[in-house]
Amino acid sequence: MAGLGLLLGGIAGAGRGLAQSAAEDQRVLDEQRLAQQRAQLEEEKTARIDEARAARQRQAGVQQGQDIQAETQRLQNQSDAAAINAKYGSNATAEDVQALRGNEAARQAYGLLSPTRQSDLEARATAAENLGYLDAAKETRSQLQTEVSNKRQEASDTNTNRRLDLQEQRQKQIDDYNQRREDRLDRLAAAQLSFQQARAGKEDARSEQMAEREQRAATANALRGAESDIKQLSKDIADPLLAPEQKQVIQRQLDSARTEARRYRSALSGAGLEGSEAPSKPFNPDDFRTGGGGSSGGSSRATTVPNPLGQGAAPAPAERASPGQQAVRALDIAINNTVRDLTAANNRGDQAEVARLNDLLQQQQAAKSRTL
Amino acid sequence: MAGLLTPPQDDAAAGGAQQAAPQGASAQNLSDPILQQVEQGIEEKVPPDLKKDYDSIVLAGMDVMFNPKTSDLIEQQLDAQGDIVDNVADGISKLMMIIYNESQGRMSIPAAGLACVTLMCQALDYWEKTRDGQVTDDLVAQATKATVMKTLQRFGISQQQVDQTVAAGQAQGGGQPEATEA
Repeated sequence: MAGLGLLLGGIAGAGRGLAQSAAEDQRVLDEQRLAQQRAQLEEEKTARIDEARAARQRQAGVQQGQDIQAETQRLQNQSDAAAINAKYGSNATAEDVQALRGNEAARQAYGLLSPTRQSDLEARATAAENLGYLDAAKETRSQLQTEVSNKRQEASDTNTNRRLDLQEQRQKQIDDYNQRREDRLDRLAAAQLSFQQARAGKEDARSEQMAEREQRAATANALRGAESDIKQLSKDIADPLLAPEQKQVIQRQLDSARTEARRYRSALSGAGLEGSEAPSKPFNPDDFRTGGGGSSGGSSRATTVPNPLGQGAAPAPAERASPGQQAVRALDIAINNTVRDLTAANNRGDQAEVARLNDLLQQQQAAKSRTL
Repeated sequence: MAGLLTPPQDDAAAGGAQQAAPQGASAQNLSDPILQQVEQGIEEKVPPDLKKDYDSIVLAGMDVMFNPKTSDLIEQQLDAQGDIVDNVADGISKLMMIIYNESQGRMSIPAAGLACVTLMCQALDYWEKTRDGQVTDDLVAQATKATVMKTLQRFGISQQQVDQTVAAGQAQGGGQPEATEA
């Protein structure tokens, strides 16, 4: 019996042990579950805190904006009231000005203009400072500085663009001047050639006189053109926005045009066109091509065409060649010009012009042979 | 809020949480040392037989406070008229009543007396973190006293009864929450 009792006691003890063990396991499981739930709730709490902070920040931002707006308005009203009182000797308050703002006619009457962007930013920055929103004030001031800087840059860019436009315009004027000058000299050369051909061709005195008159008229025209250029160039060179290199070019053109005009005057004066009694003085337009003041340089004729009659190269009156020699020289010039034009026409592929110039060249060479 | 005191089980997740927080529901995510100390003190004083009820009440309370569906309540309560002590005490006592009602009267009042202080710490922590509040010893003492009193009053326990209980507890050598001594 004692053995049975011991056995039953052992079984009962083992049962209690198992029950305690199961209870302990359950307790641990419960603790784990609670810990896990607590951890989840802590995460929820953190998320809510973040959301609440963000919402409050947004709300604070809105509130700050409204506060600054109201303070800005107050400052502007105050400033406008002071201006109105100074002007009219009145006692208007900021509140009076605020009331006036709603009335368009009153606004106009008192000159209550809408503030400019810059003055608005300035007022906002001051308002933010007054309210203790120092970060907002700093940000607004920084924005103001950026906008002022951008405006300056824009103005600078506008000036730069204007300068570039002007330089382009000036360059075109320089090129136009060179072209006008070349055309002028070409016309003069043509008149000169015609005159020389008239002489070389032993045409009658009347035809020669006519050719000479034409040459004088061409010279007078050239003088007018040169004087017009001088006027224009003098104006151009006074432009303060002119680039230094363009100024140099225009200065050279101006000098050249003055020299050109002086020589035309001298030639016309020598020809008695300006009331002078001096004997007729031959005139060679190629003289001026060498002094070309334009950036594109002078004509190539300056180096290829002989310069027997031009200033500096012209023989003294006592040494003047005989009419036969003059005719030969004139024909040489004409032949040279024709050869040059022929080369140019050839280069252009203008066959009709090449044929015409070939005929002309043959005639000129024949005339020279006859003269010789 | 059904099942506030019997939260759903998630054994798989529970395994992960076992390593993170092996000691019941205590997680101690409070960053303020004063609040940490109060909560720690409360949890140390929870009798083993009340531990499960205490944990369940704390979890149910935190669920109401921080669940996205009901978290507006704490926001409204913290922004209500009055000072933070009154707002927190009033809010936590109401919360305890909600939990009590949800438990259909099965909630342990002694466990609730301790849990309400822990939940008050959670509310003050939230207030401090979201509204740049300043938690001080004095504030916590006032809030603890107000919260416990209001909660017990909502359960029909008068100020006199509380004072008697506190006095009896002190005569026996402690065992009562510090809140009542504050």
